[in-house]
Amino acid sequence: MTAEKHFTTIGTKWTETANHNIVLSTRVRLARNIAGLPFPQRMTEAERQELLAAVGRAMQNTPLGQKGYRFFRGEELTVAERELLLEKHLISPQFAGETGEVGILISDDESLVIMIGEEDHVRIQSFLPGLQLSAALAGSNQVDDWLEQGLDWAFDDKIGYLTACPSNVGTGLRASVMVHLPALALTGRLEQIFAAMGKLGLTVRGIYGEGSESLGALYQISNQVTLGYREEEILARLETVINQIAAEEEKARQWLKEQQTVKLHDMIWRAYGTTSFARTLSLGEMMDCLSQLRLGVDLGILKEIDKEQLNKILIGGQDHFLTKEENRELSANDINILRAEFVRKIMQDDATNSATQ
Amino acid sequence: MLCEKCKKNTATVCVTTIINGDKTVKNLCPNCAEQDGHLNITMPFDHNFSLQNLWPTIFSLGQEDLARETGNVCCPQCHLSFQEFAKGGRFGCSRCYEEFQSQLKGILRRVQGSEQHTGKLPKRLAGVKGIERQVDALKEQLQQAVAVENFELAAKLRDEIKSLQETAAKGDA
Repeated sequence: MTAEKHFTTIGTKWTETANHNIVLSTRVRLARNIAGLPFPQRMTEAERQELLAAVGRAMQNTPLGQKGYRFFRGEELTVAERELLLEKHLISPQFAGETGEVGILISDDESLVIMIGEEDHVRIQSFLPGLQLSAALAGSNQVDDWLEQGLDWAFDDKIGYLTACPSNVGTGLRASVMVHLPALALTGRLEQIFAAMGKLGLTVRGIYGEGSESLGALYQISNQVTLGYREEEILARLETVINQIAAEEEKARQWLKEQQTVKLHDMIWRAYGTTSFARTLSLGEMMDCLSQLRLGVDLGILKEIDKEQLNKILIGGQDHFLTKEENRELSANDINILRAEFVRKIMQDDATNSATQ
Repeated sequence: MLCEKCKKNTATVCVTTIINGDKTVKNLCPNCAEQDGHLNITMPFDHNFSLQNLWPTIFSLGQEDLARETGNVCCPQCHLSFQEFAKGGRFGCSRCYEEFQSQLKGILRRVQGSEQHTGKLPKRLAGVKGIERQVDALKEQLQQAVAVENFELAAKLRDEIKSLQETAAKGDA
């Protein structure tokens, strides 16, 4: 397996098993800092080098330094390559745009990504498909155990792991679950549910994380509070709420299916038509169609396409994946033409597949 | 923006209607929206409205005096001043947590609702700290046992605490 695959393959760990309804993927990240070094925002270039060297040494003597993991220095990656990782949701927008020296460790299957030199010295992230909070925490914890053999984490007896922002202090744990809520969006119930979540210490964001808009009814729900509860308690609380939201979404889907049958079918088939035949597609329109197609597949209305194809479009239809082999200046319109071509091809592949079966 | 219907009042509600899959968005004033019989009035969800953007407000809330008095105090290690922190919401180094301890209390209460970490411990502390936590938990159980006059259980718990404390003492030595 070559390192380049991270920047060429559309598939990633969290899209691996495509049979999930509503909850698409889970991410658990732990923030850690090395005692005695300033936090990245206040580091000199020399200190950044020191950070990378220290983490590099700590990784060397653990399985992270062995086969199955690949370490990159930020300078080894082009802007486009960082953007591709962002489009796979493996790194944060802040990290993609970081101009200082950074490092990134990626496991071959992309279930583990460590960002070095983001807001905190080390951010350990585990990615899994579906709702798998405990397994993802176990993955991140394991890496934390490995790293602390060689690194002295900044830790306070009373308030726990110290982080650049006090909103992460304590456990340093942020668990995020990506959910697809088209029926709640269509029935206008999202705002109400999101408002309630704030009271439960949870936050909702669009799919690219902080400050980003939601596209295609995809939302990221995560814990806000990181101090005062054990990691398992934080996850259990999140899981309970996620299951409730999923149940509400399911109810709304059944209501649409039974009470708004024609409208629902019409919407889904229009999305099928658009993605099969459109000659230009904006990202927003693609994401909306994708959401409607996914709903159609989930409800058994659409049998012409499967979720593996939809996941391919979800990542491969993003700007940098579409343009990575284009060596020319591209306008937004050019990209929309490429996107329509790409989406059509995947829809077409599928139509021919089912026709021959 | 003025209400699209009466064109007099300021539009403060956004009404989204979906008919036959066609989505129309109207910006109305509260009066007109009510007249139109829109029960399901939804405001656009502001995705940029996150806690991160509220830091400066949260940190200075009720601490204006403190910020004025201590705003110029700097962390001796990274030289971040409290004013800088209140503006950006990020500490400069782990030492800042000690240096700005007096301000931190209020911040943590507001942001986290707690000031006590109960989660994972670094391995180097897990031994001693872990036992401390177990002892605390047992002491609580002991109190409850005494309260309900379950002296048999209380005696058992007391022995457990004693043996744990002995282990901890050995670990320290």
